[in-house]
Amino acid sequence: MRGRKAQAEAQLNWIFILIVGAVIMAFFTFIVMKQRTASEAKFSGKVSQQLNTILVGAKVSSGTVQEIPTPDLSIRFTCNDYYIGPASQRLGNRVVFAPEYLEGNKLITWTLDWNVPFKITSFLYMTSPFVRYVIVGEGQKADDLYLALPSKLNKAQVSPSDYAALRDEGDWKVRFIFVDQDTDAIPASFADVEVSGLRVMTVDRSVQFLERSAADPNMFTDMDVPFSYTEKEVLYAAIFSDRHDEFNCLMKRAYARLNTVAKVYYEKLNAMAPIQYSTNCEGYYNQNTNLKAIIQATDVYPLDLTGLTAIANAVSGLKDTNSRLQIYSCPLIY
Amino acid sequence: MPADILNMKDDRMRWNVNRKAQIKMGETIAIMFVFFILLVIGAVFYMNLQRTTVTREISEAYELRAVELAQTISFLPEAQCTESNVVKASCFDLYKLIGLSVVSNETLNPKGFDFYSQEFGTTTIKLIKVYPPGGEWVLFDNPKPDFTSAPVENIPISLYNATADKYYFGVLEITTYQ
Repeated sequence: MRGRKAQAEAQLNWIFILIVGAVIMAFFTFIVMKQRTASEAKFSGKVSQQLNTILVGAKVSSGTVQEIPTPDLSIRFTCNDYYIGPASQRLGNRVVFAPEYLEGNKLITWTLDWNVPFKITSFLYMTSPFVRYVIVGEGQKADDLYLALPSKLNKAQVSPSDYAALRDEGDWKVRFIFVDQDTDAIPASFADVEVSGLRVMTVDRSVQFLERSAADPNMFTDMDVPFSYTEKEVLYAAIFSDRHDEFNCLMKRAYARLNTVAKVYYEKLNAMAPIQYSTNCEGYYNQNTNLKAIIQATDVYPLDLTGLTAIANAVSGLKDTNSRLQIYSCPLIY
Repeated sequence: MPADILNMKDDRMRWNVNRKAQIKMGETIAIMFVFFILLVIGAVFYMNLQRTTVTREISEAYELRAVELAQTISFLPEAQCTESNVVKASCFDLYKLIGLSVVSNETLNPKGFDFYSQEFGTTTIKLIKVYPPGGEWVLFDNPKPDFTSAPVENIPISLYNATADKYYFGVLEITTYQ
């Protein structure tokens, strides 16, 4: 009888120890899991902060191309933010053109000033060596575009006759840029590759974003309506962005900035005007019509052809006035 | 031995065994209790340490924000001195800054104010002409309604007056609201 009781007691004691042990184990497992998530978030936050510093640095060094080594990570770019894991950073008023997703351990950045005709902002283009850019076209325009893109870019140029036979080289993403070409077909070798396209019409200066058709995966289909451009920086922007809506959102921001900067210049000239009365500089500053035209054209987005023409005319007018002011030794507009 | 005495002895033994098991169980519970108390004390200590670190990091981030802001303003095309689009290093165009103060004014230009709010956040940026003295312009003013502190960063700058073709000495006063 006593033996049986002792046995039962020992069993109960073990069950009790097991339960307590399991509770302690669960507690520590919970702590470890939480810490892991926290340290992952901390790491992502740190990387995104460092990337922010890189972006700020890249933005101020206009005209440069940089290859930046990074930890093996995946970055998602949207119009307003970029995300690394759970961490995100606001882009604010910065204009960064990049594919929606960038993966790998290297980033390529390219910065160009957007001058209309004075500097409005710096466009920052970002991509990765794992994204291949294929210029499809022949002739001066296609050659110029190919040469204008940085040499560090994973780029190639093919003639329209060789396009159909193009082979996949194992790149993570491929973006086809058709220069003055009406091609819609995707080469057979790219059936399982993530592809996107851009049709550039150099005559009417427009770009059309293309995506793989859901109905026929061997063909490209148009994404929205074509976008007209006046400056080559905008064309490069369309090459680096792979989503039409994000590109549109960024261009909206860029034109909003153009509108604001033009207003600042307009007010600047108005403030300078009274000091120039009765001098040979008089008449160039007060209520500047070219700046007014830019402000009016960029007040609404998207810009129509009339707006783009007005900007182009105002740009040449401002360039002309600035040259005249330089000749007359007057304070310059920009 | 009479049967009563035998039964009594048996009862006492049973009582002793039960008591021993109860004491054992009590001991284990006490150990567990002390263990968890220590764990809670440790967790509280760790949390406090973390809170201090986070508070310090937040204040560092605000200081960094002021420096970042100063850098942002320094590279604003609508503030820099230029000559045919060539930027003059470390120089601010006085007339551009006057223009900026008009465009970013909330009452005069709400659209411009909204635009710069995204760029500067909740800050006040003032331009003070130090030498020759005389002149103060509010370039941007967007104070946080319930701010707890507002550290001020002063950045000495070179100001260019394009109409007089003269350089002045000024200070950019940046107030970051926390």
